[in-house]
Amino acid sequence: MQYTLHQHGRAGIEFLSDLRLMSDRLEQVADARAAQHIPADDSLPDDIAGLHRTLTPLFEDIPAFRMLRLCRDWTLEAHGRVAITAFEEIREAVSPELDRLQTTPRRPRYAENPAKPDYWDGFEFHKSAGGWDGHDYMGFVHGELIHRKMVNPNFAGLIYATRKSVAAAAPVSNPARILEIGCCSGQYTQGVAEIFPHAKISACDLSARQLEQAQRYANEHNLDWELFQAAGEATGQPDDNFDLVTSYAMFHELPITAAKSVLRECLRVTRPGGYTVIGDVKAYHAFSRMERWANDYWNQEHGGDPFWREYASTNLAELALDAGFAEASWEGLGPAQYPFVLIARKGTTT
Amino acid sequence: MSNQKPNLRDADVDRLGKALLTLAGELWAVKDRQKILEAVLEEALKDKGLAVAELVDKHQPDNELAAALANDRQAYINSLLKSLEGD
Ligand SMILES: C[S@@+](CC[C@H](N)C(=O)[O-])C[C@H]1O[C@@H](n2cnc3c(N)ncnc32)[C@H](O)[C@@H]1O
Repeated sequence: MQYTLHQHGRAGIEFLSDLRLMSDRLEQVADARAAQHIPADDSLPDDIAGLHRTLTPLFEDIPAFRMLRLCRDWTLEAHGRVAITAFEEIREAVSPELDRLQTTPRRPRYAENPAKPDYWDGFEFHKSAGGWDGHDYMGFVHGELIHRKMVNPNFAGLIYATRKSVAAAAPVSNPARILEIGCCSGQYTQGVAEIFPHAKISACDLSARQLEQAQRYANEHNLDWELFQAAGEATGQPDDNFDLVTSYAMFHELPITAAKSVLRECLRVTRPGGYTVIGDVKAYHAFSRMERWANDYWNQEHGGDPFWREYASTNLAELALDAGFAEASWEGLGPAQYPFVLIARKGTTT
Repeated sequence: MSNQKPNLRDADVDRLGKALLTLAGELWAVKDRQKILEAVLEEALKDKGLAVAELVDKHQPDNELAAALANDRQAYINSLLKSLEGD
């Protein structure tokens, strides 16, 4: 959809996006300053608490590191507000087209009594103002203004390529039916549709506002996605219905108890011999200890992601086998081992 | 997060105060220039009855202008970061 931000909103978004990227220089300054004080990686503690005891005070003592944290805290806290401000400047111009695209020709199926688990409801993931449903056009604000305009420029398109690589890792050929769980505004759904252009794609999310944005994308691109509001724990789909059940970047937002229920549901709706494929951030064991500390510090401690550590230190393959899958592996893709992908096969007899 | 240790220590606050003043000065020069610019344009385009503030709101920079803006913006952020970085 074509739209033009007003000067103020555009400048605010560009400033925030550049500041976020350029402040990474402070990290290099801090790393260089810290290097002489950091023991060899294998003599660092192996546990997270020990790593924090050793490394956190050392880094927090470096002025450039404290300023880096100030910059990151500010961009994290301000990004939702800046995007919403930019949206409000163009609301009148864009809302008729947004309303048309979310309903024509298809509209998402809303749940009558949508589940709102505690870990999801009102929680401001990544400190986005108001959470997934926190604004009447939060799907456009998050999927378009935040993701496409603020985040994507800093990764030169890589966030879409990464998603596609997860779909491409699914060991299925010509699947007829695919279910995606936690589709949000449809960024991974696009990748799945590109890799499997002939499959019938169904996708659910708890957030009505994010589903509306996914629907706009589908309607605009003539994609026949079936989008519906449901929890990954209870999708309402028939047993054994899908050749592939998949999800990207949702599991790190779930407490482990919820991750287990979602995996049980994935197993139920996957057809015998079919696959469940879950992509998400890198597991802690695949990092050096120093990197693990940094990853935990910036996401769990300071990134507004309360379940990050729990997810990254749990073996998802074991959870999948416990849930009843016949085979499961959980590994990082490519040399960077990013993202991590669970590939779990449902047995043909149960 | 409410229970985190404060980002800034005493030694940082002075530097931050100075950076803030630098920023305020720059920002004021821009606000001043913007008002002047709108007045100049309004005056120059009087006969055409153009609403300058609205035109500015809706103007989409072409590639050349967008590149020049990106250049200026990054130099601006750079100097901001330099003053935060300290020594
Ligand atoms: C980081 S976003 C996902 C991103 C999306 N798949 C992508 O590729 O960008 C996480 C999404 O998971 C959804 N979500 C979280 N818990 C869920 C649950 N239990 N069931 C369904 N969706 C859930 C959130 O509403 C949000 O839209």
